[in-house]
Amino acid sequence: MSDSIGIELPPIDDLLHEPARLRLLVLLSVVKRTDFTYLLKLSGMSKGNLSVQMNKLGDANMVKIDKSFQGNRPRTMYELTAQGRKALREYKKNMNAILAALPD
Amino acid sequence: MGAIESRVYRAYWNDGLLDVFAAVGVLAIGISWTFDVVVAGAVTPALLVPLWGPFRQRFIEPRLGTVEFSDARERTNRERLRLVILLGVGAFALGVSLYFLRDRLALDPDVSLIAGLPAFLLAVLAALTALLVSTGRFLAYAALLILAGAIGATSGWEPGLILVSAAFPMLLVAIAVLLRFFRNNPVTTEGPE
Repeated sequence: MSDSIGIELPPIDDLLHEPARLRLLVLLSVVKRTDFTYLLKLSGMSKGNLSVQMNKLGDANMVKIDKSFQGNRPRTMYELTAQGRKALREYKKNMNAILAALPD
Repeated sequence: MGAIESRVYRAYWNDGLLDVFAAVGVLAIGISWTFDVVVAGAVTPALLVPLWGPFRQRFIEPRLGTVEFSDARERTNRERLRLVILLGVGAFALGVSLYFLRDRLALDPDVSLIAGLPAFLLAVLAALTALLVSTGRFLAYAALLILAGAIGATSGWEPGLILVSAAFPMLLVAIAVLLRFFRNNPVTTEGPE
């Protein structure tokens, strides 16, 4: 049995530490709110992937999801929640701390 | 505001619809001036403004989607828009004054560039629009209006003809940008691919 040395790195949120979700959260963090189509264009992701990732973020209460109709077209609006904004700030702080420990 | 926010904002204005509206506005003012119905030219912007929302909703949003920008961006935009409107009203007032004083002004050879004044004022407006929507094309339109104003005025053209000569290339570019946008951005619906 080996002993752990016990060096602790700042915690990294697995939900945010995924490139597609992180990209979406960063995009949402710079606007007030946006719809599915605009997010699709900005992210360059496929519809399926975008939908799956946004639902995961919605389930974790990082993103508020509003579904409505514009005429006969469905429209889903997304908005970063206060919890999502806080998680993103925390993620940035922790990643900065980890990256700062890296040798040049 | 950050680099990503600026890119997101620029993407919102890069479809060409605003270019078409601007070109049609300049063309309408030029034509109405040429045919001595300068008031019709003044009415054109008032007719175009209410069309903006429905046109954007009908032709752009199904392809690009929609976004609400941050409060900081909205504040900056409101300040810039106030400046654009102020200059627009100034340009209109100067244009109308010029129209009514044109015979008297034409007698003075020292003010020959005066015929280019409406184009110069619209160039200022185009430059401010470039600032407002972060789109470099409007700086090119401003340069075009200045060039048309300078060449036209020194060649003895009427202000209306100067505006028309600048509006046509503007309109061609605007239509090309809009068509490229339509080609690259088909109507997108939510749901499975």
